[in-house]
Amino acid sequence: MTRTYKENHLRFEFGPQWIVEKYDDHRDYREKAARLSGTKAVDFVGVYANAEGFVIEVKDFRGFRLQNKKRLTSGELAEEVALKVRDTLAGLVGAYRTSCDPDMWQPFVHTIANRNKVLKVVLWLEDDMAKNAQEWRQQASTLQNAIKRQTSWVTARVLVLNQQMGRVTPDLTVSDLPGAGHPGGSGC
Amino acid sequence: MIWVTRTEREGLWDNGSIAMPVTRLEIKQFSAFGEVALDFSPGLNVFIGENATGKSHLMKLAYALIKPFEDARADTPIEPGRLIVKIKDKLAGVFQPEEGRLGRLVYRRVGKNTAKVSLGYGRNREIGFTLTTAGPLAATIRKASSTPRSIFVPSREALALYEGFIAAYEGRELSFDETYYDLCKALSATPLRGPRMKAARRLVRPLEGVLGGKVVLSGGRFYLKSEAGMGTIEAHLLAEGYRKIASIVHLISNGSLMKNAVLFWDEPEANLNPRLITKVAQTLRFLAAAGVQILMATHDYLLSHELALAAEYGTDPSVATRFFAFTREQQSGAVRVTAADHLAELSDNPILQEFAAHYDREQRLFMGVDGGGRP
Repeated sequence: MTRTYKENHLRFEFGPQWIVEKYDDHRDYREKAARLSGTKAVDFVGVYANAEGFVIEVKDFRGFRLQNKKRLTSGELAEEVALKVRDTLAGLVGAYRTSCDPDMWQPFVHTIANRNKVLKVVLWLEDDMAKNAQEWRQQASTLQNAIKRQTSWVTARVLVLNQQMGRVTPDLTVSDLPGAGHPGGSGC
Repeated sequence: MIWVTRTEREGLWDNGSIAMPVTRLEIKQFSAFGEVALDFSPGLNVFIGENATGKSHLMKLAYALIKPFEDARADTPIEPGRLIVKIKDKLAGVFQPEEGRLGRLVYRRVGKNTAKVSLGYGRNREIGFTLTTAGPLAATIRKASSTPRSIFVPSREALALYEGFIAAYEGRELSFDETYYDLCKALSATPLRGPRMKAARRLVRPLEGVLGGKVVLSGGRFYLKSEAGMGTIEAHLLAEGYRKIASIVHLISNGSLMKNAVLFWDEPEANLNPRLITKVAQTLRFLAAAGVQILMATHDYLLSHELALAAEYGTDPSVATRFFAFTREQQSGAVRVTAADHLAELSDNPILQEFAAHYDREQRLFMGVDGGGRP
């Protein structure tokens, strides 16, 4: 079964090989971990093909180039993502322990706690900062390294992606919603 | 940050020579090049490209054309016979083709070929040659007389091998190309005196700050005289990056590197750590601001982008900068060159291409296409 979510101006379609939750909207996050002031969360948590754990953060900066340029280049965004990854992993353990539906969180916790399974961090970043695909990849590579430096305590597998650069797995499709690329959204 | 002030730039740090930067180089069928034309900035010219795309050859070629005539009289045209002999000798010296056969420098293809090279400098002056695969060389000149003074700093640092190098080279005991010999000879010149020395001192002081001392030539050996009270340190005990900067300091101090000279610097970043690379970038901009025309080749992301930042943000408007990308044509294999005033404008930036390729490799590993180890 395909599960579809809307985030910013993007549509995320996770295919049948995914177990996925919109983590930052889930009440087990909002009513538990989020109550601790300053706690952050990524947009999606997922397990792909029963083998790989994913934490996916989505940013759509299109139309907000100037507002977000400093955030992208100063290391602020990299740190924000890394903090979200840390808090999400802690939040998942907490949700599994205290949720009234622990079975829902079990695949996530069992994957992230299993050192023989892969844990991957994805920053899905739509922006209009780069002049071309080559420059975007170079900037993405730099940002990846900045994130990696701060997540390597748990995983060094970090990828910054957008729609032009490809898919995280063959089973995830991301597409624009109407109005994408124009100011009017939150730009965050 | 640029250290040199306007007063210093306009000081006496020159030998009264007229500004004659190299302006244009046209190459047909020479070395790795099919047909290229480069218009140089009077300030900083940065060549980027993968290995074996002809960056060093292009610099050696320009150097071989101007170096032999820097002491020629400004008001007298160079005699054609002398021109041919000098260019032949210099090409053979800097390129070192087998048995001195210059025809080997012609772009290789099936059948015979003819190379044609022309270098513009000063006001409408031109010096060049044609060369066939079989070897005969004919020189071409237009209003050619004396050429700008030039220094070629090769990728391997020369300060540590200086001791005894000149005599050994002249005794044909070494296989180094002639750029090393020329550099060692330039390093051996006696220090400036009088007002020119004072002007040179002002210019080298910031660089000595980087080195932490003064560069001293004594008994045929170079030393760094420490300002921190550590005595003198033999040049070959210094880190290679420091030795490179020390060479520049000494060349300024003895008047070999002066205003209106041309500095060819091949891979300044070779064997340098990133912190020293930013110092080298400062040194390059400092020299360009002081009136030295620089042609340099680099593979380094940090160095090229440090120089690009200065150009993009106009932190020193007096340093005109131009970037050149050297890439091989897919079909012919010949090298082509594209140029831009900003690094970001270059569509064929091989350094960025490699970064992009690195991203692609990481993406494939992330997605498990190329396998992968433990988490």
